[in-house]
Amino acid sequence: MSQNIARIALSYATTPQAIVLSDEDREIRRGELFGLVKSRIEQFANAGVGHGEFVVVNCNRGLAFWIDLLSLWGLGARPVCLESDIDPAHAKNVAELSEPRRIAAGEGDKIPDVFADLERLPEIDWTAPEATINDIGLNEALDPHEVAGLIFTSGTTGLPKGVPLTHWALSQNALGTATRLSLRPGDRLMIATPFRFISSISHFLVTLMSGAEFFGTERKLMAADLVGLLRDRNMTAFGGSPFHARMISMADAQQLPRLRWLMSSGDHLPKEVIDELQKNYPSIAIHTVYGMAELGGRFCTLAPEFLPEKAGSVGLPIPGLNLEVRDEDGKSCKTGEIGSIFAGGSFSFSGYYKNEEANRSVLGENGFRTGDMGYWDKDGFLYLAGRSDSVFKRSGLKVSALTITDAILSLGLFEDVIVLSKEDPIEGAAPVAYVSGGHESVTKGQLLRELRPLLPGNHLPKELIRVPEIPRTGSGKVDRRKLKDMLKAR
Amino acid sequence: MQKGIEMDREQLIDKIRSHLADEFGLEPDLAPSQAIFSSNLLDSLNSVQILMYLESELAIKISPLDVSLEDFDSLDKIASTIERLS
Repeated sequence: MSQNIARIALSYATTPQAIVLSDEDREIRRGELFGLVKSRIEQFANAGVGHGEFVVVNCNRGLAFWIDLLSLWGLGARPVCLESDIDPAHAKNVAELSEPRRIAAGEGDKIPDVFADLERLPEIDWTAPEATINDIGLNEALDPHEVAGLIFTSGTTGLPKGVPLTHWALSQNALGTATRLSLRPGDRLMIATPFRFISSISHFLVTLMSGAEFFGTERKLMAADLVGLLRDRNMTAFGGSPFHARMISMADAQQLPRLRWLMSSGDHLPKEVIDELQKNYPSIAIHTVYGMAELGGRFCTLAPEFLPEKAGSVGLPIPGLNLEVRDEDGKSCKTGEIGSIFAGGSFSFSGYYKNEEANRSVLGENGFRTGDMGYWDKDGFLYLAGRSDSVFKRSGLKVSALTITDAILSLGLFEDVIVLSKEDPIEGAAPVAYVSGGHESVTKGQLLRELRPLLPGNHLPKELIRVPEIPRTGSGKVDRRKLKDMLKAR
Repeated sequence: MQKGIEMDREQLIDKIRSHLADEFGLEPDLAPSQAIFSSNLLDSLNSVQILMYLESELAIKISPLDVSLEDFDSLDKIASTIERLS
């Protein structure tokens, strides 16, 4: 069988009349999806898109994003998945790395200057007639280890790095994950995360391969909006961040009688949210998942039957991947001992795209160093314990304390600055800026207004704390213990 | 005057505006009709923080399940939502 990820994903759809893809504007049945992909591949081919070519694909275009992904994969071209309001520095980096010649973007998308000369691909023809899978001009001959596209990391430690996803890694990861997540035909899964995230792409593939319906929105949602969509669209399953899970825990099985399945990823799911979900939805299956773009989607899953006993754990690796927890000397850690998490296996990461420096720091004889810290329990379940660098998760998204520190220092308002993460009951963790010297009268609001043009919203500090001085060791590192003592004495 | 809230609409908007400026770094002269969520100034998580603030400062209880993002998308809309629910 062909190893083209588009062929694999499309092969699992159920009856021709079953809805396989939907959003708030449209519902697409299997035959219609085949017709749209067939027509889109022809549009791309007529525009000159070729095998192996990188094509910029903007999200925030509803279902067009997913049709484009399937069609470019099907053709053997390589989608570069980006947000539509991409930062100019990131856009320049993308352009230099992938040298795209064409872009699939929405009518109102603001195109960064560096992409201004790219050929704009035509809009999807939504009136394309239905087709069968055999009518689609899929490239069946490609090597499964060929790059199927680029996903960019969150760029918390500098410019985002390009993660090349192969047809093999995408398909094996999705198949391995599908065996764990027990979605089934008739299920309707909703996501509400940006489509360019690997988590969204994994949900999309796993849902298609489970014969279920995928519903996606990139709209901002409050709890009432999220619960309203789940209820009005008769969703049986939801995949999102712990923050989404918290929102759903505010409603109950009377309001959402069809919701039977929930998957949380991005960060650990707090026990109080699990307890509330189990109280309000007595028969709900809660899956906890740990994943990353470098591994083509998911890494570990915790099945519902291990809750609440293993609450806080991210479970076990999916089939095809293995993990090790190692100490600073590279030796395997004992049970309960925190160390660096390494990944290996048949479709593990083989390197960032054209970034030897980054590859040298994460790839070695022990496999791929994920940058996450963790430990095993006595039963072999993995627990995460933060990052080995200054990165932490805020509401499931990576935030770099170093980036925030640099941005505050660049304002010249203070003599010294350090940003550290602090536990937060709602967000998991939040950045706190400790400052000394400089302008005494600067308020948190003023600082945030200065930072807004420099940082994404989730990097804005939650607290601003003025200290007489930031204690540092002889080597210049912040003496966290002294800082803590200083704060206690305030 | 709001039921149970000892201030008129203008004072209420001023109070929320000042909170958004102090806590989230929005402009201190934010226009009452300026979109704050659909324009990406704030995200869904911030809406929960605003609800918590309203609950603690104005002693009003608004369930997150009673308000949509549309109800909270500007100072005017937040004030109207408070009027409707308090």
